[in-house]
Amino acid sequence: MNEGIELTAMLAGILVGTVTRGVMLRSDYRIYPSYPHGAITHLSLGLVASFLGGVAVPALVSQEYTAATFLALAAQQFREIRDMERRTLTEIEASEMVPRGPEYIEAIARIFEARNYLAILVALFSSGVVYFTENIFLGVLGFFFIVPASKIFMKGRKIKDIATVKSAQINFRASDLYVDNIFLMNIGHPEHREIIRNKGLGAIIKPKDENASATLTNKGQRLAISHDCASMLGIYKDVDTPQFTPLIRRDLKSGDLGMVIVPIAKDKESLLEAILYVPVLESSIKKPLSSRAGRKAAKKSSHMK
Amino acid sequence: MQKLEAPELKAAVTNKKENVNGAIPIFLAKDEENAEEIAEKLGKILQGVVHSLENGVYVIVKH
Repeated sequence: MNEGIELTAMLAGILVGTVTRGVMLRSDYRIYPSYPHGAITHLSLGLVASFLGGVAVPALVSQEYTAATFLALAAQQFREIRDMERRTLTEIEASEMVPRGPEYIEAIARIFEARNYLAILVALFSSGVVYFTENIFLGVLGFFFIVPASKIFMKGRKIKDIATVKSAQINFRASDLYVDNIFLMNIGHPEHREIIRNKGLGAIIKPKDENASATLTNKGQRLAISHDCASMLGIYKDVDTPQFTPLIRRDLKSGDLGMVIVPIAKDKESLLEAILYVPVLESSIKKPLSSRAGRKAAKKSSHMK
Repeated sequence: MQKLEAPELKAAVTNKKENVNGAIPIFLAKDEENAEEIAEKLGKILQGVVHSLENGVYVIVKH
């Protein structure tokens, strides 16, 4: 019976871990599309990760401590995943009409790394449950609770959690492009101004608090917003028309962001929705309100507003 | 990794000779309309943005 349960626990772990990784594979359109080869690579790595997680508990209980060193070696290997993703995305950056920027790439690479580690943990948990309860059905049942739990756990914040967005009026003062009262850029040629006036959409992103304001200042975050909106709405631009690149600039007085984009699909509501669902990049999160100095500064500036 | 480069002034176009001078490529136009046309063409060729300095001078800048 002992032999049997070890193998069963291991297999349960491998199965649940791999399936969990498979479910998480269903990639968001924001993350680069999963080519068939990318999907196969990730699933295979997920299988290996699940194997490691599944084998850990039975091995340790049987006092096969080499399994622990084995896990440490694997962690080393899996760090390669982040590098691999980063390299792939960086290579294709040059051909993007609106690039992602290094911060967004880093965030995506980190997500793929984390998903793989999650597969290890899920497999470990499942195999542990099956081993100690000697009940295979509990392990499989665990799957029905782990998958939604990991989905919730892996969900990051979006712009809608930290800011409000509204449509804004594109206007020109001589050659200067403004969105409401926020200056964006000088557009010298009258024909370019016409195109932006007719086909462009403007929006204003208002941070909800000082933390949000600090996060939205980050260039990488703003590039991510431009990239995602361009992906979703299409962009009326080619290599020789850089003036139609989406622009996001900060209003220094209020901390609001003004944005102009010349989309292929001119739809105000779609733009607002696109902006709201852009992920907040971990690397751009700042929390000045968590420090005493930050809170003091915030109080002072709100008196002055 | 991409390095953030400073914007670069590639060329200037104008019909008002007195407003430009220097070591950058300068294109002189017959009149304002001609200046606009030349600026547009250069913008496309150089893949830069056409900016207006409001004194009759257009500059092409690569961002």
